[in-house]
Amino acid sequence: MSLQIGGSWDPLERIKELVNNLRTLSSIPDGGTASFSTIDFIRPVSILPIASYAYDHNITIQNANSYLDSIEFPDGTNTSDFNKIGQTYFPITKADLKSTTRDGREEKLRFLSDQYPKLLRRNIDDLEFLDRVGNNVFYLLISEMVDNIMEHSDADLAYIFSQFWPANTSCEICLLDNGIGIYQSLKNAGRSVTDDMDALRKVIRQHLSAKDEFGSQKRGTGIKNTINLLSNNELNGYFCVISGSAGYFIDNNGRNHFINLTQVSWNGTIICMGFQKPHKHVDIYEYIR
Amino acid sequence: MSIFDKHINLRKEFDVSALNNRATAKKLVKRIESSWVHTVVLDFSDIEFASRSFLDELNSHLPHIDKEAKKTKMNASVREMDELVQQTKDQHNSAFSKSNTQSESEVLTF
Repeated sequence: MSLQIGGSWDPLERIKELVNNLRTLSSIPDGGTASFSTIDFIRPVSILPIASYAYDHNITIQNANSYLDSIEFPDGTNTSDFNKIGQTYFPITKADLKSTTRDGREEKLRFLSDQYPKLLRRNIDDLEFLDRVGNNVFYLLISEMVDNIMEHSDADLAYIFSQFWPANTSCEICLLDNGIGIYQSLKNAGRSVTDDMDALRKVIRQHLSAKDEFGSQKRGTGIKNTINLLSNNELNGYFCVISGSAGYFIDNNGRNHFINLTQVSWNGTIICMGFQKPHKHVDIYEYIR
Repeated sequence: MSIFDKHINLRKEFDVSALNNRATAKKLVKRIESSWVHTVVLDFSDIEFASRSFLDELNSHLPHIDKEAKKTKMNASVREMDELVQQTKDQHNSAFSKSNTQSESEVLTF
């Protein structure tokens, strides 16, 4: 069974390619083997879900690519080993949330939302880019998504992987978990949802959330604000979420699509966020509602 | 601040420079509730960033606590987020009904 990672820069094409690769992986029995027939240009969203799936299903992926070695594909680096990371590489990072207390889970996820943005900035060697996006863009994008994992996912594992490309001054961040997914989280909270697509539509369009506060339902703001920040003409970005057999993609070019995944489903949630170097300093507060 | 106020330095309390999640806010609320004094000073010194989630959780609970909580030493960024969260809480329901205006999009099948 072979996986393909092509050369397209179009994030929607990359999502389509990812779904094809996940479909290929899902046809392999646990403990089996897969390989890459093509590796052209690797993006976080191309590789992180494959790494996570391979780990969960004990699938060996034959790997003859030095870049994949440098990012420690597929196992990644555990958050507890993060102090070993230097400036020359920035590996897949994994938070193992199994068999820990709630405090332990929170501590590991807090690491992702507090320390990871700083490490990501440290690995970007473009002072103008860093100055224009500031700390807050990284904090906002990562912390809101990590908070969703903490509050709603019931996941055993959470992953994050990011890349900055100096040549076109763009950045992509992918986070995922292997938890219960958006539909089940809403269902467990007693919300009226019928399937993965219905749940995702209600999250995106109606800001439905699993949160309650003093006896009443709260509206979700994390995804809404993240989309506001990315899908504008300052960051020229894109946002994608996949949960179960449903997905959603939006970018600053006006593309705005729900996606039906056929014959494949992700147990948990995948988030992909990308953006480019803005022309001036970005004030995130203009996009928060 | 009087000698009867409880002072909580958030940077030292949570060993972070960014307050990023609801769980941290819930811990802080418990800490405030368990304090024996009437007034608690929340010191945001050296906190670079506070997320919307953190401040939403904190601000939602503070009115329901039998203590006075004073926020001090917020940097401009944290203060702006705090003000935004308090404003949007007041307009919550109407804002959401108005914002639900994105046009329907083509559904793709992959």
